[in-house]
This record gives sequence, structure tokens and C-alpha cells, in this order.
Amino acid sequence: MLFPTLDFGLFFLPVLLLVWTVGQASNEWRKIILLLASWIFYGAWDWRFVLLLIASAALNWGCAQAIQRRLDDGRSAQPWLGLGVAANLAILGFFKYFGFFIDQLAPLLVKAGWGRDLPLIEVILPVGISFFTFQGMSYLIDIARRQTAPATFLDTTLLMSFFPHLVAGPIVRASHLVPQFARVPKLTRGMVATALILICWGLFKKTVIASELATGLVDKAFFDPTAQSGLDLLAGAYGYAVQIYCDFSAYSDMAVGLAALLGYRFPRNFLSPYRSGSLQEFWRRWHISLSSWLRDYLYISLGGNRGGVWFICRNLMITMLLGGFWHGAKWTFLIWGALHGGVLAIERLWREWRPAGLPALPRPLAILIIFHIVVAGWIFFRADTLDGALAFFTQLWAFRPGVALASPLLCGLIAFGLAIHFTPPALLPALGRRVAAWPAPLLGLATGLAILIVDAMRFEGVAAFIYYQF
Amino acid sequence: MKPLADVFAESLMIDAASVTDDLAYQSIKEWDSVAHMVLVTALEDNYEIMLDADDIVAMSSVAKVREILAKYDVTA
Repeated sequence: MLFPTLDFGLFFLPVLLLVWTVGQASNEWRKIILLLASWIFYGAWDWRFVLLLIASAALNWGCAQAIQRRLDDGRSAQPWLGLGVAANLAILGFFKYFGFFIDQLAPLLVKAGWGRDLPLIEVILPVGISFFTFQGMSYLIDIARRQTAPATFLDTTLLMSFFPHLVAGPIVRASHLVPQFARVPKLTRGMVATALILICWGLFKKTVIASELATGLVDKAFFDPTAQSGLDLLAGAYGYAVQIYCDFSAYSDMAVGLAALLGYRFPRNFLSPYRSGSLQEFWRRWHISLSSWLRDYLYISLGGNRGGVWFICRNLMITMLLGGFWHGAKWTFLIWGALHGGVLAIERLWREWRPAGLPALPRPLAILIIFHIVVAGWIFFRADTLDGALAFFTQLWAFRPGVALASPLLCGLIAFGLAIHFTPPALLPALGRRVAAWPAPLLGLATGLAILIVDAMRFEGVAAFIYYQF
Repeated sequence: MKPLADVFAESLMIDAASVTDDLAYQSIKEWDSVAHMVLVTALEDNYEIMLDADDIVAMSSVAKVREILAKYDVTA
């Protein structure tokens, strides 16, 4: 079930009605309704994986209890923490990376006479698995670091299964959500207004900008770069930067909005990432819940900023390489991670050794340079194979004349997708306050109208969100 | 729109005069995790905004709340 579909609407409206009627009477029933709804939502992809989700929640709940007991007894939490993290990693590893390693080993296995068994050990990837295993791990680490207290079984299961964030994030931590589960939430006008704005805005970004750029430009440019002109490839690369932003941030906006309509607040996941003047700043604005996860649980565990400058560079590189690998077991993702890790390390070294008195780059120029580094990374990220990515760069360098794909409409969408990065940061709350003052029937009518307008503007069908596969 | 001190006083059920900038989360028994969520809703209600989950976690003192509200274009 994808958010921007009628199916999802038909699923969401009864859930909304139930939680604000039956769910008002008892907080426990409210959470049970949300839990069942989440399993139905997830089960719409594949029922079997609902069991995996429940097993994973039970595992993390059990480990959390054991860790807390050891801490209460004044003993080290390490054995249970290690076991819990290893179990989460094992689930993630089996479903996500098993295939990659089997593929790499395939020639050896064939040589050993096991070639016939290869198709049998192929594994289907459950949707959103990396999001809920990451949530599980951070939950256990937070408890071991005494930053959060273990939640009840119901709260733990709901934290991990809550459908707005289940399949493509944002990564919601126990400290974000469990305190909100403590009592029946109150829905305020500001919350409803902000939620509806986010949902409509997300629908527009996803179904109009991202889908249009994907089908009209990006997919064609990346399908066979050797057949395209230089300008088309350049537009394709910029187009993908706008597409992936509009696609992913739209999912996050809708997730935040849907959760808010149910009475819960999520962390924001994007903050105009392409207006960053350094790559470090980019990662404070892009997929914030993942980058802060990597910072708090991986980078800090590696030693963080505690050592010398080379030690910090090593940690940055490892963190970004693993961040790349998290996206999938492909060389293109590893190169993407290495590029980001490398540039982050160079930024760090430059800060250390920058000659005194050298004037800083003007901010617009810095933004332009960082944007192009990010775009270069996206070419690896988007290309299906390493050869495909290299062909893209070679053809772009050759810059063959002509324009076939980059129509004025598509270029306009790219310009629009970049221009929205430069709106004032407080625009959303300002709009929310204005909309909150509207009478409820007007707000309902305006939402319906906005959805109809977006529907009229969009093209046939809705492509899956890019981040579903991660 | 109520002044910030009143929102704090009503949510935490304390005297408005005791709401000073350095009043911190969990420094008094009235400002515990349950009251924190009451405070969040009261702030959202009063200023007609929706707070980000990260900001809710970061609201560690009255001064910090004021700083966070500024991000939402609220002068409190």
C-alpha cells in the first residue's frame, strides 16, 4: 500500500475514525487499534513478514528487559546488548546482504558443484527491514547508555511497527515516541493544519515533480547514457537530485503528517538539503534521522571526535562507507559512501590546516560546489551498475551536442525543485498558523480541492518510493 | 495567546512566578516526562504550531523552549 493511492486512503480513514472514537476511551485500546492497523498495512505487501516484525519486536523487548535488569544489579549490560545488536544485524544481514554475498561467491559455489542449489537460497527482501532493525538497535543501545527506560511490550511493538514510519522512515527512536504513547494525545488545530499541509505538499512533490522527472527524464538518461547528449545527461543528473529529494522528502512529509493526524509527532527528516555550504551541513539537512543515527550509534561508538584528526577522518570514512552499504550491497553504493566520507574527511583536514587569513569562500559559491559534489554522488547512487555510472560520466565529459529529453517543462520542474530550498525556514509554521485559523469545513474543502488538483496534475500511476527498497 | 510563563504554570501546575529561564526539565518534581507531554500540547495549542519530535526531546529548560519556539517564528 503506497501513501498516495486510493487504497491507502480507504485504509487510513477508518483507522483515523477508530482512534479518535474508540481510542479516546482507552489509551491501551487506541494503541492496539494502531498496532493491528500497522500489521494490516504491512501485511498488504506480504503477510509472512508480519511475523518477522512481531518476532523482531519481541526480541528487542526481551533484550531491553534483560539489559535493564543487569544495569539495576550494577552489572555490565554488554552480553545482552551484544546479543541484541547481533540478532538485529543477523536479521538485516540475512535478508539484505545474503544475496549479494551469494552472488559474489556464486562462481566458487558452482565450481564446488552447488550451482543447482543457488536459486533455492535467494532471499526476498522484506520492505523497510533496515528501518525497523535500526530502530531496534538504537533502542537497545539507548537503554544500555541509560538514555531511555525500557518500554512495555505493547509500546515496543507499536514503536517498531507504527505504520506511518514503518517502510521508509524517518527512523523514530524510543525517546521520540514512547513518551507520546503514555496517554491519549490531544489533537490541536495547529497540528491538524500542519499535518494537512505536509500531506498535500508531499503528494505534490511525489506525484507531480518526482514522478514526472523520473519517467520523462531520469530513467531515460540513466537507461542508456551513451545514447544521450551532454545537455540531456546534465539535466538527467540534476533531475535525479531533485527527484530523489522530492520523492524521499515527500514520503517523510506524508509520514509526519499522517502520524500527526493520529496525534503523534515525528522528527523532521529534511531541511532544504541543497542549500548546504559544506558536506557536513548537507548531512545535517538530508535524511536527518539516518545521519543522526549513524552519528550517535556508529560514529560515536567508533570513537567519534575523541582522537586526532586522522582518527576522526578514519571514523568519517568508515561511517559513510557503512552508510553506503546500508543502502544495499552494491559497489555503486560503496563508491557513493566513499565519496561522501572522503569529502567529509577533506573538509575536516581543511578546517585543521587552512592557512590563517585566507578568506572563506562566498556562501553561494560554496553551495554551488557542494551541490555538484552531491550530484556526482547521486550518479553512482542511481546507476544500476558501476559500468553504467562510469559511462554516464564519460558521456557527460564528451558532452555531445543536441537536446532530446530536457524539455522546458522538465527544466522548469528542476528549477522549481531547487528553488523551494531557498524559502524561509519558518514558512511551514507560518502557513500552519494561518490555516489553523480557518473554520473546519473550509479546511476540509481546501484539503479535498488540493488533492483533486494534485491528482489532475499527476501522470498515470504512482511509482514506488525510492526508499522502499532500503 | 497566553504568555509563555502562564503556559508553563498551567501545564506543570506551578506558580507562574517560579517560571524562570533556568528552570530545567526534571529539576522539579512537577516537570516530569508526563507533564512534559502536557506542556508540549499546551505550547502547540497556544501558538498553533506542531513541534518536531527532536525539538520536544531538546526542550530541556525554559530558555531552551524559548529558543526552540523562535524556530517556529514564535516570540515568547
